[in-house]
Amino acid sequence: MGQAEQTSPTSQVRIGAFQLVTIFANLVYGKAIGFTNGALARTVGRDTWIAMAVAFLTGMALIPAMVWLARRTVGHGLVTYLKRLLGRPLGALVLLIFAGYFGVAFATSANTATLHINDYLMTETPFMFFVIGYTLLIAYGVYLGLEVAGRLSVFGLLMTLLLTLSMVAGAFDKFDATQLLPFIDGGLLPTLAASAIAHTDVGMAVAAALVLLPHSVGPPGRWVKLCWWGLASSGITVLVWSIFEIATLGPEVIGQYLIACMQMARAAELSIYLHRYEMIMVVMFFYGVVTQSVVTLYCAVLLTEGALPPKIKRSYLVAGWAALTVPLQFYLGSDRDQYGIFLETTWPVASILLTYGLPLLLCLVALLRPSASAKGSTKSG
Amino acid sequence: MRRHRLIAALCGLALLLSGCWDLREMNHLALVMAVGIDKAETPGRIQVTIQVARPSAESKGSGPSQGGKPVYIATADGDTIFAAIRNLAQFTSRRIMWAHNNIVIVGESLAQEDITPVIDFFTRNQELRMRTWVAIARGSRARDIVTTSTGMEDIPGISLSALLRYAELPGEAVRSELGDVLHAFLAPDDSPVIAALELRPRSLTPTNDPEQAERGLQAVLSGTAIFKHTRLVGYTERDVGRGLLWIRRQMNNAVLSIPCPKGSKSSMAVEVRRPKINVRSSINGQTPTLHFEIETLAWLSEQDCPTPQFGTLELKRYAQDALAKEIAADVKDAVQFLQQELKTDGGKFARVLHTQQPAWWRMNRSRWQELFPKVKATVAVRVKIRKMSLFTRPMVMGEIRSK
Repeated sequence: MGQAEQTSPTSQVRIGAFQLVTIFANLVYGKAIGFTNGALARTVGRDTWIAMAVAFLTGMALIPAMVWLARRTVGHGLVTYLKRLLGRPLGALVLLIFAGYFGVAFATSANTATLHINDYLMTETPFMFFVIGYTLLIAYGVYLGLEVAGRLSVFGLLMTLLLTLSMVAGAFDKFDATQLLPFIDGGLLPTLAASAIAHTDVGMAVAAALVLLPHSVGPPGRWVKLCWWGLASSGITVLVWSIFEIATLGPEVIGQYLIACMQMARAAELSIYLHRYEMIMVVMFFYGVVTQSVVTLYCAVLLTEGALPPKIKRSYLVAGWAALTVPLQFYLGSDRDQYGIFLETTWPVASILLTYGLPLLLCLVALLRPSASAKGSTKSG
Repeated sequence: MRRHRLIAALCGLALLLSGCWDLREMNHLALVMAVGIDKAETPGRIQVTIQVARPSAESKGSGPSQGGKPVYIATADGDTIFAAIRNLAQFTSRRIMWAHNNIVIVGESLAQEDITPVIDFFTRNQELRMRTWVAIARGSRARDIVTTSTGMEDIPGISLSALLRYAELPGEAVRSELGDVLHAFLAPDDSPVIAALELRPRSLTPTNDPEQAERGLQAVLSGTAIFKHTRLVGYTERDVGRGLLWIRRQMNNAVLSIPCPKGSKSSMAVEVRRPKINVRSSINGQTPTLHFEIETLAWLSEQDCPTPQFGTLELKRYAQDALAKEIAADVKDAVQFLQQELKTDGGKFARVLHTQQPAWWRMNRSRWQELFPKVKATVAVRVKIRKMSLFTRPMVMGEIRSK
């Protein structure tokens, strides 16, 4: 085993238990309230929030499996463990597949941020400008590292809570609970199937658990609880948005728009004196989305770093990923309607396969090869 | 370290320079306060009339002697609303901005033909809010309402929006916002209902504007416009309008009149407070029945007739019964109006059945237009008068008693 695998610089990165919870919370929120609620409303109408809840519960049910796998990497890191488990070439391939997933996840997260500004606030500015500007910002965040993202995420969660509270306060007078009825209006199976769309967000957090948990200073015995707290806190805030969007504007209106949460922001008013505050809401929204983008790009960089020869500097990898994702973001986001179709069809399938299917397959292999996690094992394929 | 600074500087520049593309100076903008949409005289074209605020006139005071009129009116037409607005730009000298628009008014003839272009354009536009008010120009063109001076505000658009904001006091018209109208338009189990504004003679308020004085008109809230699919099919009048609000569960703190006892021609005013409206449904055979259960608190706020025969409790009991009858009659009138005259579900009946009888709804939704006039309705009203404003006993004329 090479020296780089034993003392990878990433293995020295440490994030606190509370930061881990807040990172998990931010990993789901931004895109879920922005795009996913609209996509779900187009698919299952007023059962949007049920499909969303199903996705969160499924994600929480899968967390113990991810934690079980992550605990086996303690002491040598995910990169080394995968190479031991699957052999060097296959391990590297799996790392690259995961990295690719996080790269696309970053692109969807970045588009969440850039399309908000481009479609609602600065409509004349070329989309590419936002793509490049935002990618530079996030690349700098990744360069600063996971600890910085962890600290940002605490502030991001605070802003997320403030944003949710301000939305609730501004929309409460229009809240009509009967809009949520009847439950399971489109049938149980379609609702369960539609939850796949929400798995694109929840799955991001579940897959990130595998990468981030080994960096947590919290004892491995608490990892399941920490992840659950993170998912539960994001689940509550996201569900508040889902329920309010449906009960205030109705599923038909929410489904009409690509960025559902901005319609909600445009429908909220705090008395006649503050009848328009979507800019304030966008500012509060951004801290969470930036955290989501930094963490997803960080995961992509980290996993690529493990798959490639150790001589490559991380800063080059950050720049490389940033350069790769700029055209991807532009390609995905420039045609808004195609992007909506991508988020509703292709991305859920890819997401479920990569964030749930692949880790579960790894769990199965790990069960069959328990010796791979033993410290000091020298087999590396 | 140098690299850090470079990246930080680039990110900073990205943020700072981003304003260039979307730069909009305040004095280059025409802030629309109200907009009217009509059918143009040329068939197939749409006419747009905007009322734009003139801040300089506002700051100097209203009236020709000070800073001129506080609003600027402009009209143009085009094949679409967007085209008409583009044509406005040929002479308005400023860029039109919708972000502060208070109200969208739709001309009656356009509403009778198809309201789709109005809903589509204004809900697609990122500058407008979903809480912008929407109204129908009853019996006139939207342009006439937009160009008429109404209310106490210098900017008529603000007065018009206030009419809708405080519509719950007369309690005869819905308060229609763009988001609500869009929802009703898109939902398969709802139909749009929109507040109606009508031009009526100005009675007391004098005006300095010779044009207005000559016309002597002002916009008045005038019932609710009912739509079937995309077309305006009718309006509610006073009692029916109130009934519609009860049916739609939108009645809130209105002032209602009840007759004085013993055939007196005078009336009493009762203020409805915090009503609770529950709608249940049942299916008997194939026919659904809706049960409206209304429970409300009320204040007896005015008594225009002496009632020496009543003590406090008797008077309250009388007023409670009379108000309950009044409310039940309004509801029945509204149901009959929708079912027999308009044959349009403006009362959210389909929504109630969809919610409460989902299996029945799934089987019958395709036949809803045919079934709607046959739906039965029952009404039960309970009124509790809590107080008589500041009085504690009925108004009785004093008499000198002889020994």
